[in-house]
Amino acid sequence: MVRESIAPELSPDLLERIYLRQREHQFSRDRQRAIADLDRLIDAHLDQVSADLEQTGTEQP
Amino acid sequence: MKIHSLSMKNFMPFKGDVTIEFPTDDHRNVMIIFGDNMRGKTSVLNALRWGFYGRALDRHSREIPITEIVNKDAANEGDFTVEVQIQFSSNDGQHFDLRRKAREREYTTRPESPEAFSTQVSLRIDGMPIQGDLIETEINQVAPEQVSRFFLFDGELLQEYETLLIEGSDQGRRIKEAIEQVLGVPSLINGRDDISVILKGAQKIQARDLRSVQGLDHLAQTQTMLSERQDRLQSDLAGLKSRLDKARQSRQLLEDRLSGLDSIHQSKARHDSLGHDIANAQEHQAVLEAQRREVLGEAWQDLLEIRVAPIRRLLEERRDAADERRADLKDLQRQIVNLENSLQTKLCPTCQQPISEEMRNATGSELGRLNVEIERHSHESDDLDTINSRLSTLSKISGAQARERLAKIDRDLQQVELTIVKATNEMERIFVEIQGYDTAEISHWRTERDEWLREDGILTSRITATESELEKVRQSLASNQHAIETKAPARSQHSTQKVALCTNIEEVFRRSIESLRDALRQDVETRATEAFLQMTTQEEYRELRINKNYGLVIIDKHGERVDRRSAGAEQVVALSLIDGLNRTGRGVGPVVMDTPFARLDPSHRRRILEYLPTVSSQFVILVHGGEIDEEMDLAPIADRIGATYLLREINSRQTVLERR
Repeated sequence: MVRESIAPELSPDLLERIYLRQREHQFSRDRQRAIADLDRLIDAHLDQVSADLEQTGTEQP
Repeated sequence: MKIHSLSMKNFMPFKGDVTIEFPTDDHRNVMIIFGDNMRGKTSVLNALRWGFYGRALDRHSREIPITEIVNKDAANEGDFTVEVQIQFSSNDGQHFDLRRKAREREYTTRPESPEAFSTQVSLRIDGMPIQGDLIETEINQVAPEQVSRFFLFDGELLQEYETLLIEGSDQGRRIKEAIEQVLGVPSLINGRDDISVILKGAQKIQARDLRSVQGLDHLAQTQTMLSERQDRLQSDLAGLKSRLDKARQSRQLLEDRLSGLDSIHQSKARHDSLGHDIANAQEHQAVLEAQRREVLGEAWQDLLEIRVAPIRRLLEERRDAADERRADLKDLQRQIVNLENSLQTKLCPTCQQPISEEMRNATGSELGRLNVEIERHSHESDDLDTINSRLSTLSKISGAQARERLAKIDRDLQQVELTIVKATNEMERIFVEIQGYDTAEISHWRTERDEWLREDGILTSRITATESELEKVRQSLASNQHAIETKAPARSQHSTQKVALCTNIEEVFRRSIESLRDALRQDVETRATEAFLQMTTQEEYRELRINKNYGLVIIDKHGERVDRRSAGAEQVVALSLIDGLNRTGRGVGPVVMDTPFARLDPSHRRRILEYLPTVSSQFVILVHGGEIDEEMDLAPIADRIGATYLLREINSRQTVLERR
């Protein structure tokens, strides 16, 4: 619901993966590990989007 | 998660090695540990806490120092080693072997402070040793400490959950935080904060990238400026929050210190008030004693009065008699006048008829007698003047009524003395009670606590203002980002794409927090209601309704809120909340309850015993004989009981555990 109203183009799959990763790190005092994990997830997603764009040749919004 | 075994060595009343095997069968998953008061039921719960998290807690949730954890008899024999080993498995089948050991440091003969102990912890998962810094993380994955109060809990503290119904209570806020942790709300909050860190990094790279693109440098500049402002505000906010945490911790520390000292403070206030009462009474006593002296000074008048009164009475009698005689004299004079007229006129004074010579002689003779009598009376008239003169003198001597006045003063004095004696006795009793306590320090703590409360208000208001300012900067950054994204050269850059993605994710997380809370609250309400209807014996109750703080109110079948709840009903509501939370947020796990049935009647006990084992992987209760009837309460769940232990006293410092 929130995603649809703010950024409908945002991948629900990515959001879910981020949330699950955060749940794993919820009780960890060392936030750096969680941040590094999240950063990797986001970069991997962007790389995937770029790769998909190259294949389809269209620009994403 | 399932606990397989708990082994303790020299842990509180358990001297030497003691092991409890937990039932791991899915159906026979109930374990009962019987023990009278002071036998070590709470120590079993604490052994689990200490093993998992390295801390044991007292009834006020304060940490028990290791010096108090080591068994006294073992310590007297020179053995200061405390060890707990917990074998457990996660829901995905991994086997954990956790050991925590504390012992005196090298070259310490008799450790008398926690600093004199060193602690070691080791963990193996499926036989593989885990590195020290990862142990806590691994334990928290399976049994997070922050939510441990919901599965390792003290039944005596169940009434704490009532504070969730009180808006703004400190204890309620702490429990609410724990509840949100078990529900996973911090995952979103951490997610938002972690993404925010990534976003800031991406923005810096984006600004650097944009500066090299012609026509976009002003947007890069704006972004840099806004980012810097955001950094400053976030740093201020973190500082304020840290100060608020410190203020709350300091206040809590003082609250904890003062919680047991409230009665001392009240006694001290009573002691002071009695001191004032005594001073006032002594002042009144001095006034009364002065009055007494004054009355005694006038008492001689009463002694004289004793002598004067009979004389006065005699004189008064004589005066009355003289008065009577004076009236008689007037009568005589009138008779003489009549007789003299009669002699002159030779007529009867009554009928005016002529009187005979013989009658005139008799009248003359009578006149002579009356003249003699009147002469005698005139002497007595002189006597009356003397009497009146003496009476006038004596009237100046009047009594001081000293006796009556003294009696009243003495009564008042007795009353005052009684007040002073009673107040002094009470003061002495209170003195014994408060001696050893530094009451000035208690007053100081109270003042300091009030100061922290004021500081809390100031910081909270500054945090709100800073958050509002931060929100404005965030919106400006989003507008600037939107402007950047409209430029094709920027749009193709990885940094711009990353900033756009992170901005969206951060916003989704930010806005989701409240909706997640609402959804989770709804879930908890539904599950707690299910549990409540299984456990309550009151058919009039229809459901539980949750408030913003996760406090639960009972709704009856007419849809009316039940405001007056019995102690038992409160306990059932608290158990329902805990079950609702465990099932919403934690997944199936063990529930260990210390003294859970103290306030419950047999019907509720039976229903709880039948229900809770069905929703937990293991249901462990630590009970004393008075709160459970073995035959009546346990018969219906006999086929679910996997193990029963008894805590038996050896001496006041030592307990043994026997399997039955």
